[in-house]
Amino acid sequence: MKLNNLKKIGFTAILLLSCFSAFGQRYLTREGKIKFYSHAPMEDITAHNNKVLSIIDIDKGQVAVDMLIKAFEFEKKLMQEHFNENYMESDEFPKATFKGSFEVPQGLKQMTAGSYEVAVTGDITIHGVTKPLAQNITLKVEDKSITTHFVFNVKVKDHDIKIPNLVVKNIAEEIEVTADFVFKPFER
Amino acid sequence: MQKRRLILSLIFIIGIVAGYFVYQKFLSTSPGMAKQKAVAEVTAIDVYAAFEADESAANQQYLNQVIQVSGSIAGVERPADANPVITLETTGFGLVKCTLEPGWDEAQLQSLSTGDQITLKGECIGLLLDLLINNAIIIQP
Repeated sequence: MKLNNLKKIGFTAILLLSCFSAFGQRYLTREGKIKFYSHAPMEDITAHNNKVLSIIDIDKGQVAVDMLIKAFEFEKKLMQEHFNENYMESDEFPKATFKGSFEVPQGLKQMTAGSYEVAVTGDITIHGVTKPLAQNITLKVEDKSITTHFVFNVKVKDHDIKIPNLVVKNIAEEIEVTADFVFKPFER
Repeated sequence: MQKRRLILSLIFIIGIVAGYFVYQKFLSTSPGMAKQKAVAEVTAIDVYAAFEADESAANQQYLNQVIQVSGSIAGVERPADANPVITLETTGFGLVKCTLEPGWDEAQLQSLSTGDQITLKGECIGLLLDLLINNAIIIQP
């Protein structure tokens, strides 16, 4: 089944999967949720992306996240356009990605129900700039799914995203990112 | 006297130009999807297959472009905090997911069912496992 599926997967997915063993236990979500929140003196801005792709391999302890910048939805269309055109330059840098690894607790390997805290380290790429990221996350195993929720901060400056002085009071220097993923066994 | 009038009218003109510039740069939004022209008319099956076969070649052709896509409805999703998504069947591993532009017709959306044929127009924003289309509007039915 897996071989047959692999043949059908697009180029991106192959790239994304290339770091995973062919026999690993892989879990996937294509409806991962990422929310970001910017708190600044002039205004608070929130945006949602409900179409985040993520794959986790609980044999090898690897995780990959892939999202399209233009899939972020804002309350105001104008904000969304500025975000894409002026700050993220999403025509040029359409994706944000994360690739990381972690040590797999024995219970998780066997998919025993429970919560497992793991320390993930890897590289996050936003706006074409890659930075290391380390994050402790809790993976909750229930039935045949793995659920996780975590929050981390991204500094706008770290990723070479330029905010004009005119709107410097409207956009936070540090953006709070919230992720919610429900991974299911890897199949269509 | 005349000099003063000249200066005043100059300031007035500069004001209008500056106002227009600020509007264009900071306040205007791009025209709605209905006013944009599609660069290609494709089926969901064909466009997905093109991305699956060679993503970078397909990106060259379709990424950030407005396209018109026809296909069979695989599902209609109504996320709580986001715009509705109409997914179209493909013969590949993923689907074509069309996120609607705000201002959709609720009654029309309710009337759609799985398996119906539909044509949408929207901006192609790229491939993950699924091919994503943004700001889509329903052309047919």
